[in-house]
Amino acid sequence: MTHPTLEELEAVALGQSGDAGAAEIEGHVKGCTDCSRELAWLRAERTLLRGRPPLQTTHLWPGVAARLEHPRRRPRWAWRIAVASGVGAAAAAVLLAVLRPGPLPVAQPQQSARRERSAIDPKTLAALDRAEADYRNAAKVLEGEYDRLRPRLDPELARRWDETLTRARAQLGESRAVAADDVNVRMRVLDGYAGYLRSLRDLLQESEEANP
Amino acid sequence: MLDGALADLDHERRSALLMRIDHGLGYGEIAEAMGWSLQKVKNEIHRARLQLRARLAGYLEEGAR
Repeated sequence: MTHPTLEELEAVALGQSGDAGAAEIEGHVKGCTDCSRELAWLRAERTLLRGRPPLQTTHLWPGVAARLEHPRRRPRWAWRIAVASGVGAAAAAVLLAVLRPGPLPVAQPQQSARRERSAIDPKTLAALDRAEADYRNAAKVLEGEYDRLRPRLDPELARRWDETLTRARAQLGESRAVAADDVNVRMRVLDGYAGYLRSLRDLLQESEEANP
Repeated sequence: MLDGALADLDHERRSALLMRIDHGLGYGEIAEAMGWSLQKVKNEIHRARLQLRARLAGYLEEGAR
């Protein structure tokens, strides 16, 4: 047979090939130095990454929770910016806790090629939910501020900002729709929120400067 | 050493690699999750591997034997 593709080799390394397909590829690999080496690398990667020790995050949760639950008292602009920054910090803490690279608290013995995607530690899930809710709230505040400023903006500028925000919201919605309880994807959603908030913050700062 | 090597990867690149290896997601699923094209997923995972292998060469060679 010709050389298997990288994806076929990966499937063998990850145990995702059917028996017949795997046997054919293994047969080729035995006589092919390049493929043999690549497959060995892929298997070594899999073994290393899946064998990482569980991450200890318990000690981080009080700090994360405190940040996420910090009351919002300052009703002024600076506060609004601070909300976005604070939420970013909270998400960074969640990121540190969840993704500091180590396994998600899901590390399970590999019983099947497709690993459990939903077995998130409840504390992790709760922190992700709180961070996301805080992001949403911060976005609402900043969106409200934008709505207030928008009539004073140059119409063309406002139209471009509207398009940017609509696109960001659509991407966010799509990411959220597929995230389910997958920690990596949930973190991606938080990244999306952070980007969205930064866009809103930049927009407001520019608007304020243009219309003091 | 592994943690350090992973930490050096760009966050999104690391997520893509872990989705593939740790979670067994297909390239299409990763593309959907990350909002990337299929080709970008392949490129990012390939680059992540190159970086990881460069950092862990000795360690992985040992495991690959």
